[in-house]
Amino acid sequence: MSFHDISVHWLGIIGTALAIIGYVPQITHLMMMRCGDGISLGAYVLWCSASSLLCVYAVIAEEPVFIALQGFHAAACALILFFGGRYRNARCPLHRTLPATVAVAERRGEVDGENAHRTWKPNTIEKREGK
Amino acid sequence: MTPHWVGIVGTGLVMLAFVPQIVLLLRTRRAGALSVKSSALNTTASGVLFAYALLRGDLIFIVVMGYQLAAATLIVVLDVLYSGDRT
Repeated sequence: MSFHDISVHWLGIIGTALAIIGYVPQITHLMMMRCGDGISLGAYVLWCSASSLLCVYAVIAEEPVFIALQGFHAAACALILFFGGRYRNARCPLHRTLPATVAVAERRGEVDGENAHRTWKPNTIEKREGK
Repeated sequence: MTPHWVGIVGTGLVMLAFVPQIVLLLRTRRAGALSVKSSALNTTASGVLFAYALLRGDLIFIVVMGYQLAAATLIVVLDVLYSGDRT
């Protein structure tokens, strides 16, 4: 393996690490705040399927960086899909208070505007802080 | 199914996958809980991995990462435009 090959692999490793870190804020918000507002479940179903297939392709093509990337991508999408589906109609106080949130949800027939605040359940942070 | 077909179907699904999220953003004009930080990091990662795919010379991953870079950039722009907050 030449120096050039090693440098090229580092580029892929950095990119994969960034992709892994990139999912943290989204998953943290979903899990901690139990808020699935604005997340397209259809998109994540397709991403999960695509990443699984590309992971198989990367295995066949013997590309370790893309095996790690697509494998993680598929797992992260599955996690977002799970929590996004679970908290689909739930909104954290921040997103609930934005007027457009209620308007959009009402338009979709997801919530009754007057009772929209009841769709959100208390999260673990607030319970811990005793709010 | 040959290995290339697995890659081509995966690439097609990646291309389709961005559509519902972009349509949702454009239709509702709201980013909601879609994380700006996540979107920004994913765009940076796509850029680096696009460069990596170019250097590796694998056509499937060049197309996937190139498209992902363009679509992720569009999501960041819409996310920032329609965000009332920063999650």
